[in-house]
Amino acid sequence: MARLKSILICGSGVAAWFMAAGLSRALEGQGCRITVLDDGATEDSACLGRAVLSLPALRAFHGVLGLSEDQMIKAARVWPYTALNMGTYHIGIGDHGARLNTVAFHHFVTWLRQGGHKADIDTFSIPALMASAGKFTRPVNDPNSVLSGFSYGLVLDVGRYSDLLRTYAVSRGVDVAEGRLTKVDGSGAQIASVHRDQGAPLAADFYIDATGEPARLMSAVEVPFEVDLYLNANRILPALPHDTGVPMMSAGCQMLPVMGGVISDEAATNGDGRAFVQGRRAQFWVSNVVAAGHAAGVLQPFMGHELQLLHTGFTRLIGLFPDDGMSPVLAREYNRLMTQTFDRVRDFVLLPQVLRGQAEGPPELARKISQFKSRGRVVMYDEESYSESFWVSVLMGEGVLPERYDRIIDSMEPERLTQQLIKMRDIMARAVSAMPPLKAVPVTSGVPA
Amino acid sequence: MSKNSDEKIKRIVIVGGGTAGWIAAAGLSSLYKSDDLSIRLVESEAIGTVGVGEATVPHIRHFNVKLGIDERDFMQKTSATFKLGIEFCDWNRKGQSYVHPFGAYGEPVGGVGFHHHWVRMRKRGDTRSIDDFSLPVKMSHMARFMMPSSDMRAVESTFSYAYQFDAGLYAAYLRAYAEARGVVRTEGRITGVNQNAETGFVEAVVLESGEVVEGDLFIDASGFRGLLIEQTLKSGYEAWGHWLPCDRAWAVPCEATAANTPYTRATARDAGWQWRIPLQHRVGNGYVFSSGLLSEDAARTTLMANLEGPAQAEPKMLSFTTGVRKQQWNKNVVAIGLASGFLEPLESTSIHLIQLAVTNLVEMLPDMRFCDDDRDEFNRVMHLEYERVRDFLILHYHATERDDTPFWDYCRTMTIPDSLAYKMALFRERGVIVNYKDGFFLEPSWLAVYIGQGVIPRDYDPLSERISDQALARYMADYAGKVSSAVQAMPSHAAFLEQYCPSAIVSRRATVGAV
Repeated sequence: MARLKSILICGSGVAAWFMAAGLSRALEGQGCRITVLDDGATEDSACLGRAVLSLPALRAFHGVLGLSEDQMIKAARVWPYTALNMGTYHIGIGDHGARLNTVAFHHFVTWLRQGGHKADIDTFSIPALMASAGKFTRPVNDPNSVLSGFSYGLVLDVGRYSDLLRTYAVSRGVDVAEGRLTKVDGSGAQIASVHRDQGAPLAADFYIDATGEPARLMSAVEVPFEVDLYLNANRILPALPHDTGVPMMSAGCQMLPVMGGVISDEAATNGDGRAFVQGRRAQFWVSNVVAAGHAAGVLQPFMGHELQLLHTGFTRLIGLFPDDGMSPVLAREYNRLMTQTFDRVRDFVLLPQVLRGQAEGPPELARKISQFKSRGRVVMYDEESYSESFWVSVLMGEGVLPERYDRIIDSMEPERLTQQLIKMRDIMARAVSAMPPLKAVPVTSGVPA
Repeated sequence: MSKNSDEKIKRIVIVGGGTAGWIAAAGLSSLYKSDDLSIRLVESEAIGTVGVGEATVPHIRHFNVKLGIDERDFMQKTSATFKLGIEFCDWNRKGQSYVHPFGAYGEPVGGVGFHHHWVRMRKRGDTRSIDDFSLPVKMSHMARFMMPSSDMRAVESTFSYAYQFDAGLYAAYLRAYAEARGVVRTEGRITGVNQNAETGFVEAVVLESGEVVEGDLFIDASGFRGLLIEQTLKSGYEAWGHWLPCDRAWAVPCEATAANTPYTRATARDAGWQWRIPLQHRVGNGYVFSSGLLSEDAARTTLMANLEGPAQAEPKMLSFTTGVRKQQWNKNVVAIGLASGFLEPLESTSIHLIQLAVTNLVEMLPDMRFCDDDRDEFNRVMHLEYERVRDFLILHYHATERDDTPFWDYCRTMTIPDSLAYKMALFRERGVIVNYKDGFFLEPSWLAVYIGQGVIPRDYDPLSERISDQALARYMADYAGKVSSAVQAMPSHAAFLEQYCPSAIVSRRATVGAV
C-alpha cells in the first residue's frame, strides 16, 4: 500500500475550494499533488443562497488554515452573529440560563409557566438578547462569567468566500488544471480519468466530486441520489433585502447581513428561480471518489448546515484518510457517519416545518418532538451537529411547552427559586445592555464595520 | 394545560436491598424530597445478596459526588482501595498480560491519535510497548498511587481512577445515606404481588407478615429472578450465552498476603477466568466459568488452589445467564441490577449499569399516566448501553490466539455480532476506533484491549507522516520519560491508602490485636 500521490478535485465554488484549501493544509509536506478542474458550473456547489451562515466550529477550521478574521472581513464581507432571528423568537448560539440541581434550564421555564408566570426562554439566552438588542462582544474564557456560555458564527458572502479559499489554496500550491470538465470515465465502480475540453484527460489516485447537484463523478460510479421524503422546497430566488443587523429567517426567506449590506434569498416550492432537489447520496464515498457539497446532498438554507456538513465531511475524510489500497472498510465507516450526520441535520432543518404542520417527519424526529412535548427531554442521537440548546430554542420558540418539567424542581424551595430565576434574568439583561452595539464593534482589532 | 402536580407519582417502592436497591434509594432520595415523593425499600435479611467484593469504573465518582459523599469517609467505611485499571493475564496467550488502564496512551500529535504514531514507529522496528506511554499502566506495574493533577498540561492529569470495595459495605453506606433522607426500609419477605386486573400494573407487594406495601412505581432490584419484572410481568430475556458462554461463578474471599495493588486482575483459566479484587482488609476472588465445559466441583477446586492466602469463608456459587431483559421497564416496573440483565464482571460494569439506570430513570421519571414514550425511551437507551458493553466483553474472549482448551477454541472461532466484527475490521485496517454518543467504553479502553490481545493495525493514519521520524522519536522519548519520572515520584498505593483513608475494619482489627 502506498500513500496517495495525487488528488483531483472536480468542480468549482465553495465545495471545491473548501476541500482544496483544507487538503492543501492537511497534506502539507506529504508529496501529494492537489489539482482542481473546473466544471464550468455557474451556481455554487455547496450553498443555495448567495450568503451563508456558519456555526462556531468553522472558526476552528479557519484557525487551522491560518486565516484570520481580519483577512476574512476584508475579503469575504464577513459579519458576526450570535443568533438567528426567526420572527417571534431567536435561535441563539449558546446556553439558556444555567443548570440548577443538575436540571437543564429549560425545565425552569416550563415550571415558571405552569406557575402562571410569563417566562420567555429568549430572555434567558445571552446570544438571543444580544441579537435582539443589536449588541456584540466576544465570549470570555472564564467559565464563571455570564459571558462564557455563548459563541458566535459568521455570515459569509458565498462568492467572496469561495474566492478567498481559492486564493488560499492556490497560494499553497494547489494546481488549477486548464480547461473544463467534459466527461468522466468510470471503469467498473471507480473513476479512471476525467476528460476536459482542452488538454489530455486527467487521472489521479483519488477524486473529490464538488460538481454540485449534477454530481458528475458520483453519477459516473452510479451512486443513486435519494430524494428527501419530507422537505419540499425546490426553488431559490433572490428576494428584496430587508434592513437588518442580525440574520433573519422568515417563511423560507433568509436575510443575511454581510459587511455593507443585506443579502436575501427565498426558498419556495415551484415557480421561478434556481431549481434544486433536496436529498442526499445513498453513499458519500465509493471506491476512489468522495462527494462534497451539493454532490453529497442538498438541504434548503437554515442555520449554517452547508458549511457544517462540508467541514464535518472534510474532518472525517482526514480521520479516515485512504491510501492507494482504497480499503472499503474506511469508506464504509465514512458513509455510516456521514449518513447519520446528514439525516440529523435534515431533522433540524425540518423541525420548524413539522411544528408548524407544514411537513411530516421521520420517526427519529417524531420521537424527539414527542419526548420534548411530553417531558422536556431532548433526545440526542449519535452524530448530531446541533447541540441541545438549538433544538430547545426551536421547540419552545415554535410554541411547544412541555407538559411536564423535571420533578427534581418540586424539591426546591419555590419562593427562593423564583427569586433566583428573576435574578438570573436581570444579570443577563444587564450584561447585555453593557455591551457595545454590533455596528460599532470592530469585528477584529481596527476594522470598524 | 396539564400540570406536573395533577398527575405526579407519589410513592416509589424498591423491591430488594443489596447494592442495586440501595444505589437506587440513595440516588433518588438525594434528588427528591421525601414529602414530595416517598421512597420505600423492602428487603429481607433472609435473602442473601450477591456482593462479595466489587470493582468499579471511574463513573462511580460522578455518582458519589452528586450525592455529596465524602471520598475519604466512604473509602474508610467500605475498606476501599484505588483502582487504575484491570490486569488481564493469559487472555491472548498463556504467559502474556496487559493492563486496561483508566487513562489515555500518549496524546495526539499533529492532530493524529497517539496510537497511529506508535504503530508507525513499530513498523520501523521500534520495540517499545505502548504501555511506556500510559501513566496509569506504569503506576499499576509499580503499585503506586497519587491523585490525578488538575493541571491538564501535566502528565499527572492523564489518568482517572475508580474503587475496589466491599459491596456489602457500600450498600450499608448508601443505606445510611438514604435512610437519613427519608427512605423507609421495611424488613420482610415478599410472598405476593397485587396487580390491577385490567392493566396488569403492579399495585402492591404483599409481605409474609401480611403487610401490603402499595406503590405507584416499583423498582425491581430483586436480583436474577426478577420478582416483578419477570416472575410477575414476564418481560422476557434476550440471552447472549452463545457469545459469552460463562454461566456460573464461584466466589470466595481470602486473606491478603501482599500489599494492595491499585488494580483488579482477571486471569484466563481453562474454561473461563478468575478475578482478584484487592480490598484493604482482604481479597475478593472468583472463578467465572462455563458449566458445559467444566464441572462445578472442578471449578471450585481450581479456584481454591489459586488463592494467594487462606480462604475466609466457604465459596459460594452463582448461576446466571448472560443477557438482558427484553423490557427493562414494563408497565410500572423498572428493573435495575441483576433483575435487568447480567453481564459478567470482566470489566466491572455492574455498578455502572445500575447507576446509569437510576440516572436514566430520573431523566425519564413517569407520572401517573405512564406514557409509553417514557418507557420506550428508557428501554431504548438502556438496551444500547447493554449491547455496547456486551460487544466490548466479547472482544476479550474472541481476540485470542489460545486454542489449548475447547472453551478458548470456541471463543476464538465463534461468530461474533456484526457490530463487533465491524469495529474490529476498522481497527485492524487502520487503527480506527468507532465512537458513539452512548456507550461507556471510549477510545483508550478499546485500544488497550485490541493491542493487549494482539489486534494490531495493519497500517496507521498516513497523516502521521507530517511529523518527521526524528521529531516523533524525540517526542515519544520525552513523553515516556515524563511518565517514568512521574511514577517514580509517587508514593506506593499502600502508603497512600494508609494516610488518606485507612480502612475502618483494618484499624479496628489492629486495635483488637493490640489489646
